[in-house]
Amino acid sequence: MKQMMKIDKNIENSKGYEISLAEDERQDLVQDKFGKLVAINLDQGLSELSPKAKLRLEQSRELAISKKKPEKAFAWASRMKLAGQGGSSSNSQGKWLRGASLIAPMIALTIGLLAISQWQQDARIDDIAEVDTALLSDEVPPDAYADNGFWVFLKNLTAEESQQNSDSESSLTK
Amino acid sequence: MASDRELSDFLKASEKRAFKQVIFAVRDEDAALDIVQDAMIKLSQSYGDKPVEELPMLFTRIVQNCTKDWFRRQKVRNTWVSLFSSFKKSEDESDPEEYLETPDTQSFGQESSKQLEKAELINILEKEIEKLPKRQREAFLMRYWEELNITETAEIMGCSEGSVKTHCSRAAQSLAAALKKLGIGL
Repeated sequence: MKQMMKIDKNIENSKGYEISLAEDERQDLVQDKFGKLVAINLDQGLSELSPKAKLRLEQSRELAISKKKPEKAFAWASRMKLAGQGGSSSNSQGKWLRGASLIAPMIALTIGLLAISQWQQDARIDDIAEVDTALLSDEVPPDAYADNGFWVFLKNLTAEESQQNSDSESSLTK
Repeated sequence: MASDRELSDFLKASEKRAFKQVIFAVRDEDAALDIVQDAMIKLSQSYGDKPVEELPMLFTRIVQNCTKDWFRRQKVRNTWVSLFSSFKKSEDESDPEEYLETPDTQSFGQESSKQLEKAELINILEKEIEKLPKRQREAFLMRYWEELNITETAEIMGCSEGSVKTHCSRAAQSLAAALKKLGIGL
């Protein structure tokens, strides 16, 4: 019995809560409707502005547009647009130029990288050519460097030279 | 990012509303025009590269800040003016209240034209909106005239969403009561 009463009370509470929720929603709806009606009336009042105010607002707008923040990425493209088309272009042309202004730096970067690698390759070829020229223009024929006997001769020659040098140094000290 | 054309269109659509809102706050047409011009220039210079859909909220915020700046400047100026006027009181006995605008005391309901009635209704409505407390007026106009949602309004006003709801509700009740008192129904 006690439990039944408790359940009844809960149902009553929940009904009260639902009613208050519904009331809140209704109030919100009324308020929204009222707010929108006020807004409609205020909008209608905008056409009643004085000519002085209308003119001043127009001038202010033009001034603001003239001071617009320049587009960093597209400044180059817009300059090209102005130079090439005398400042008049359709929307699609503008979009095309914007796209081009994004792609152009990437193309320039690729060309730059290719040029650097080409230059490095040329420098390496020049170095090899320099060594070749030195070998070919030397008194010793290039084949001699491939001969083992010549290498032994060079080794002995350098050993003898160093021996002679050390002898002369010791005689001087004596 | 907004093109010059898009920015111009946006300003064209918003400038009159912004001007009216500033008038509600400062009650001086010339000052309101200056404030709106400042706001337009600031929007264009600082946020001209933002997408069009971000402009309404940015512009509303800038207009609010410019209005606050104007009030701050006025406060400083008035301090100095009152300081100097206290020295000159004996020479110039004019009452500052003489310069204050008195509300129109036109009789209502005499105009036969529907247009005039409408204009009168708008005039009354604007006057009643002017009378609302600052925060209530801001919240109400942002929500219903600029059609910003509760979150956006709360962000611009720097308060909670609950506060926005309360401000709007009180503003609507005050307006409805004032209009009812004058025998006007929307």
